[in-house]
Amino acid sequence: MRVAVGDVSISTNGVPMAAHNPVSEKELEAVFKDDPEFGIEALFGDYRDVIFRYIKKHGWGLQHADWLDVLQKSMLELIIKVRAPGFDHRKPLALVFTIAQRRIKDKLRRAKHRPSSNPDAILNHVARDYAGSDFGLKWRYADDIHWDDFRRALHEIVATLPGKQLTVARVFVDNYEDFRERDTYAPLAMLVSRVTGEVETVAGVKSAWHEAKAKIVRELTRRGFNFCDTE
Amino acid sequence: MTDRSKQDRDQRALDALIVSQLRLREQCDNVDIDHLPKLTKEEHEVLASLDSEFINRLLSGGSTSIIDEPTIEVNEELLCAGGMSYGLNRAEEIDERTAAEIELKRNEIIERLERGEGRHE
Repeated sequence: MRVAVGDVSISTNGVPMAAHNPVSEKELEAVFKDDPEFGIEALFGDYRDVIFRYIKKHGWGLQHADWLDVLQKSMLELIIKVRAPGFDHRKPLALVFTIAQRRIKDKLRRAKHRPSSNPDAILNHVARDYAGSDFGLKWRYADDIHWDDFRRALHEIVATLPGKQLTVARVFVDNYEDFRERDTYAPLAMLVSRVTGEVETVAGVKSAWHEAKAKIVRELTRRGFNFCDTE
Repeated sequence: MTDRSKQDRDQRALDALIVSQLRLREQCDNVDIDHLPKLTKEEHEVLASLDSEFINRLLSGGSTSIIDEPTIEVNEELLCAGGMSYGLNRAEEIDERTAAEIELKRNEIIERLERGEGRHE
């Protein structure tokens, strides 16, 4: 099943999301129209795992407790919305994802991260960094790489980095365009210090990022993406 | 760019690859349920424990918490008191020397506990 919801498209092809067959998006719409609060129960009962996995995906760099907190806040916000006059019963699952997305960003900002929102902001920097390396040029024009699979694997691997490396990775990814011109890890160290609340040295942060990258490349290579090893 | 070493330029290209692909992944509007991150066993258990009672409490406006406070066993408290505080144990990786020291300390504490239990008997 595939349903388009607002600006979100949801695919639920044959996924066992609950022990029984989950209610479909269309069925949820009908329930939300008739009895919104029962709709919330049905949605939470059948889709809480999916919502949590969605939160986990977009909230990488946060902690397990943060993801649970986002789940709870998202459900509370949904309750407030369904009780508001003029509630639109259509596409309730997409609504939860939208709410969760916002709560994740709140959580990241509160943790002093700066979740990026402009995908075009890094294009020039990426092009410039690719252009300086034979590897980069190869990656830029590669048409034999399954990029969706690559992105999924990369995301999974990064999410399993240990403590400091994960924090540094999150900050690096979020702020890449801001300090790329200056060619220094000093801004990265400053931003990581804000997140950890401790004084992080330039050398320490640089070392953490390099160790993180080495782990990422090793694991990507193990999974068959052996084009990343620049050594 | 020209004054950078080849290794440095390759590393910057790798940075660009990682950042651009992760950003693309995050900004994709498709919620592809097949490919969301998997749940760990612990996450499965926590989510399974959130029954309809939980959502009913939210609906009734009652406060509820799904985040468990860490429970510390008596022995763990003693381990902390023995010098292995959680604050010191936050490092991401424990090197061999630290691991050996921890093991030594752990053994000392276990011996102390055993001696203490022996006295009570």
